[in-house]
Amino acid sequence: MMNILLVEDEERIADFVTTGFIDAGINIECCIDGITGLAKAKSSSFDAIVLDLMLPGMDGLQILRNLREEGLMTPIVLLTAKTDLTDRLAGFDAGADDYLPKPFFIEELIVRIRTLVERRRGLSRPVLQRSGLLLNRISREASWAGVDAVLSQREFTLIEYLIRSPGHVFSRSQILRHVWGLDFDPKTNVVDVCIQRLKKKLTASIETDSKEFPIEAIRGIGYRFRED
Amino acid sequence: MQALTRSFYAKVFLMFFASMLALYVFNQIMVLAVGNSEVGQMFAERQLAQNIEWSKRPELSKDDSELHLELMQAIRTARPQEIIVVSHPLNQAPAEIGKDFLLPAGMEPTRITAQPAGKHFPLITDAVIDANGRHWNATRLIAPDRVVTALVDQSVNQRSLDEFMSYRERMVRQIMPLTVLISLVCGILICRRVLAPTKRIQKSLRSIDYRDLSQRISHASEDKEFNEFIETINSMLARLERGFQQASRFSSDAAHELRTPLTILRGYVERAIQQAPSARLQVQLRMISEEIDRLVSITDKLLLLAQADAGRLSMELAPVNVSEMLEAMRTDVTMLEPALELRGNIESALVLQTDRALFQQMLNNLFSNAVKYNEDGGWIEISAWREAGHLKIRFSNSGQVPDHSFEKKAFERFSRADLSRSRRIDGVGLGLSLCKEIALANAGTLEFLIYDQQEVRVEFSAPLREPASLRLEPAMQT
Repeated sequence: MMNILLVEDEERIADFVTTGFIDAGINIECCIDGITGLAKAKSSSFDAIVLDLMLPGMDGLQILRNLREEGLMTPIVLLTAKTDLTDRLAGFDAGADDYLPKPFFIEELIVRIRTLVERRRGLSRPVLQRSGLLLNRISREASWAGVDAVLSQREFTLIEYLIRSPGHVFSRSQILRHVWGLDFDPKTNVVDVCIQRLKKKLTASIETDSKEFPIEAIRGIGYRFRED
Repeated sequence: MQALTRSFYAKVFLMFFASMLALYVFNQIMVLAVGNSEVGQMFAERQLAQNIEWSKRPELSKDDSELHLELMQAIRTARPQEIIVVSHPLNQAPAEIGKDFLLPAGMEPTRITAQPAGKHFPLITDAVIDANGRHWNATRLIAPDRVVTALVDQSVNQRSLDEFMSYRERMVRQIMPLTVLISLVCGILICRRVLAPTKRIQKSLRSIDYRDLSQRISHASEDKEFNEFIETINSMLARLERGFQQASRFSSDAAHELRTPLTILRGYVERAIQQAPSARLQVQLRMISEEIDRLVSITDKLLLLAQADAGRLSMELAPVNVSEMLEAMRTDVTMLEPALELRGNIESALVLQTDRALFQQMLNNLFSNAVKYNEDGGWIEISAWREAGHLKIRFSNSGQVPDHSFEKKAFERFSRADLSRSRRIDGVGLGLSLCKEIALANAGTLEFLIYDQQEVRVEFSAPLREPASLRLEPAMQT
């Protein structure tokens, strides 16, 4: 079972992150200031550390540098309200493995941490895989239940968006905003059309029930990628 | 000395003085040059040859009365311009001779000056004598053992003076143009010196970018009379900078501060959606979630605008295939709004060195506008081409066209066209101003034009960098 340390001073953020991790079956410990966070990270062994950047006592970057100087190579994900390129680069410079700007979806944080831990354990795969669906980010190929297909740019972005936060229900306007960059509802149901096309591409040759397909519609809301 | 070198007035005065001095020196040099020139030599020689004839007389050993007779005789027979010199041994005490310059009757001294004899010089007595219808300059040199008396016709001096004067006049006429030229050059130099500080200040002011008001005008090298002036401008700049920073930091801080509550809101709402017991509640919560998304998008835009204002819009430069991005949009039109007529043409392999995310955001904004403000049975144009080393992109659409006056306000923040909308259109009026900032960050321009109340056109233009240094991304199918 995975063991995670969260250093976050905002109680409510800590609360829903903790709940989310526990729901996902991940152990999580939480510190609300930098100094105890650093002490905790040094004293116990964790699979990954989630660090908020702005913390009382000692900020996230200082903790990060301190840990790396000590030779601690635990994967570290930074959470921050700052999205400047310079801030991001400073984070990676200091030895961060990943970076997630606020506000974020808890599902995405969990997926990122799982990926980091798996990579550290040598379980990393060149392709994204979840619920039997394989995504190759380089060739933009997808395969499910033995069917391979090359996806269009929009199709790929859409499936990647859903697969990154499995279980999370995305509304049509969220999908439109992320995949098409549109901030309004068009007259046509372009999202539904695109998902239908995806389904058709990946289940074309098999007669089996396409209900098994991991992208499912949530009536009146949108779509989600079904978890295992 | 320090005070003098740092005083503007002192510098100008010194320059004026120096130019006067230069003029004087120039004149002196010219006089000397002329004096030494061939003309000068000739003049001197001629004067000697023509005007001075020494009449050498045997030495006399007579007393003064005999001397007078001798002199009278000499004067009567003297040719014009002749100099008469009479020398005889001294048989009186030297001191007494100077007192009365004895002259024969009819020869009245008009002026007598006597200089006391020095150690090596004889006593000299000067007199002007009117005799024989002429004026004579008489000089007696009284040496320890003899008296020498010399009479010179004044006209000799006068004539040589006249000649010299006319010569000098000729010389002045030759020198005059040069003198005027030197004065002119000195005048221009002084004027430039006077205006130089204001020019420097103007130049520094012009170089100050409104995005970087931290610059100040240096008064390290300026005169103290200008320091106060520069101080005033600098304090004005400081106030401007403070105001600008406050405004920019305010929106940046506000956007940052909003992120934490937004994170919490989103976290709880998403959890509530997952746990909602009824589909109806889920739909309601989803609506809240969408509004949160909208808030997030607004804070993102505000943050980007604040960064642009502060001159910190960070660009992660990479070659971006613009043709591909735009082709994807053209394909989207057929899916999103199949009724719209698609116009325009996209040149292939247009690659711009830019920040992918920001550039995509700009294109998305322009594309969204062109689609959502369109009308049934309308058209949309998406074009891109290369022109004189620039990348040009045009989004153009029919539909609800705002008033002409909107052209000027289009890029203002929170400005929205006053349209009678047939359907709900989201947006807060930050999109276009953000697009403008992104265009500027690409060293480019963005223009918003309205044609004949029928067409809205937005044109982007940015310089394309050397294509040789760019690697094309693998082509993407859409």
